Amino acid sequence: MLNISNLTAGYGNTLILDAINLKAAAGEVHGILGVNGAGKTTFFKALCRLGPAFSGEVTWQGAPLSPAGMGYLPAEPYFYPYQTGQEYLELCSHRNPGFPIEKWNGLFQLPLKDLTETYSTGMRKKLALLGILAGGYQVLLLDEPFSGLDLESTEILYEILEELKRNGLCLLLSSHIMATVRQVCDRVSYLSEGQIRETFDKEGFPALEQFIKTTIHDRTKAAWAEIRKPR
Amino acid sequence: MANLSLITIERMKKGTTNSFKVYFRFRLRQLSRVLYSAGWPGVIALPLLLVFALQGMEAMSGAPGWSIPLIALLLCVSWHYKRKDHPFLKRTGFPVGWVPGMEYAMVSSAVVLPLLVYSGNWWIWPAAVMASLACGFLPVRAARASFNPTFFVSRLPVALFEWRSALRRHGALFVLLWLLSLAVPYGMMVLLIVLLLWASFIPSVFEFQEPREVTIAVIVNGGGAWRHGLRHFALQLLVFAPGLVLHLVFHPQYWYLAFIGLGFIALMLAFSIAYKYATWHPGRQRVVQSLPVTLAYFSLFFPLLLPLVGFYLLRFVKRTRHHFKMAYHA
Repeated sequence: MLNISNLTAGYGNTLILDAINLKAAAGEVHGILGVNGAGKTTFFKALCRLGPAFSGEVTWQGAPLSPAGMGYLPAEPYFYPYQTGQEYLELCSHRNPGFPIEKWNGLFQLPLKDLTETYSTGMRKKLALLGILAGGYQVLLLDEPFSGLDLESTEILYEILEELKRNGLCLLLSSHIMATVRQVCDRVSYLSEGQIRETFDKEGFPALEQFIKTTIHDRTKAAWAEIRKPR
Repeated sequence: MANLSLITIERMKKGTTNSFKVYFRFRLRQLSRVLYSAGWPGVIALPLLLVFALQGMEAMSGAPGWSIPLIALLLCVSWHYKRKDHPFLKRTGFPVGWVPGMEYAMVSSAVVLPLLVYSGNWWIWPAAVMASLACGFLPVRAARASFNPTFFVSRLPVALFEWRSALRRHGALFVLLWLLSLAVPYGMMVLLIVLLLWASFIPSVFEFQEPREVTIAVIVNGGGAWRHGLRHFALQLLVFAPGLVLHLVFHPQYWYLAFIGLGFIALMLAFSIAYKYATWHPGRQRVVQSLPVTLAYFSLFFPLLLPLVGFYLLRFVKRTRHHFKMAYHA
C-alpha cells in the first residue's frame, strides 16, 4: 500500500498542495484528475522532491519511501543531446543492470541505435516510458503518459499498464482524457485548489463525469453571462 | 509475480557503483559524437585551442598560482548553472552532487594539468580538483522557486521581454553577479571577471523562443533586430554603470579592462539574438544548444576562438534578417 499523508508543497510563498492524503494499493492504477494548473505535476514533482518545497510522509508497504524508490515519467522528458535511445535506456537502468532492453523494445520497435534528436514526440514519449520501466521501480508516477501517443501505442500502453498492475506495481497517473481514465484507472482522485476534493472508484466514474460537468458549468455560467451582456 | 525484470529497493541501493561507469561511458561517447559533428569548424577550432593553450601557459607563468584554480572554478560554476540534466539525474537515482562534481573535476584537470606542466606549481592541481568537485554540490533550485525580483522585472520595458523572463528564472544569480560588480575597489580584475561571467549567462537569457506574434510586434515592428540589440546593450550599460564608474575611479590605468568586458557582453548579446532568430522555428519552444553556442561560450575564456564566433555571427545575422523579412511580409 502506498500511503501519502499530509503532503504539502509549494513554490516560494505560494502554496500549491495543501495537506493531501492519498492511499493506493499494490496493483492499483490511481488516476489524478484536475483542471490545468490544479497541481497534478507539482504533486508528482513534490513526491520525487524535484523542485517544490515539500512536507509530509510517503510510505510503501509500511516503510518510508524515498524519492529514489519512485519512477517518474514527466510530461516533457529530458534527453541529452547526441544521445541514442539505447544509451538513454542504459542510463535509466543503471541501478537495474539486467534489464532486457531489447525485449521490452519489442513492444514499441523504437530505433534505439538512432539519436533521440531524430525521434518524433510520440517516440520520445515511448522511450521515456521504457526508461522508467528500465528503472525497475515498484511505484510509478506517470504524468500525462498518453499525450502524444498514436492509436497503436495507446493500446500497447494499456497492455503495459495492465501487466504492471498484475505484477503488483502501484501507479499514479494523471490524464485529461476521460476515456483513458475510465479504461485504466481503478480509482480517481479529483484535485482542485490544492486539495483532493473527492475520490471515486470504478462504480463511481459516471458520478465523476457528472461532477466534472457540474464544476465546469458552475464556473463558466457567470463568465457566459458576462460575455452575452450587450457591450 | 511474473518476471518483469523489476527489482527491490534494497538491490537498487547497491547499483550505484555501476552508475558512474554507465554515466561516464555515455559522456565519452557523446563527446566523440560532438567532436565528429564539429566537422570542418572543429578542425579549425582545435588548432586554435592548442595555440591558445600554449599562449595560456606562457601567460600563466607570470600570473599568481591561485588564478588557475580560480579560472577552473569559474568555468565549473558557470557550467553547473547552465546544465539542464539535474532533475533527470535526480529522478533516475544517480548520486547527485558526485556525478557532476566528478565530471567537473575531470574537465578542470584536463584544462589545468597542461598549464601546470609549464608553471610547475603542482599543488594547484588538487586545489582545482577539490574546488571543481565542490561545484557539483552547489544547490540548483527549481525555476519557480528562484528569487523573483518583481520590483526590477515590472520596471523593465516590455521590449526587453527576454530579460523579464530570465530574471524570473535566474534572478538570484544575476543580482549576485551585479552585487559582485560593486566589489571593484578590491581588485582591478573584478569587473572583467564579473562581466565575463555575466556574458556567459547571456545565451540562457535568450534560450526560449517566443510565439511569432510577440516577435513581430516587438522586434519587427519595433525597429528591427539592430534596435532590439541596442536596447539590450543599453540595459547592460545601465545595470553596470555603478561598477564601471567605480572601476574608472579606482583603477583608471586599467580602463581598457572595462571595455574588454563590455565588448564580450556586446558580442554575446549579438550572437545570442542572431542565433535565436536564425534558428527560429514555429513549433519549437527552446533554442537548440549546438556547437556554435558552445564555441561562443568558450570564446569568452579562449579568445582565439573569436574569429570562428565572428564567422558564425555573420552567418546567423544573414539568416535572422531573412526570417524577419519573412515574418514582416507574412
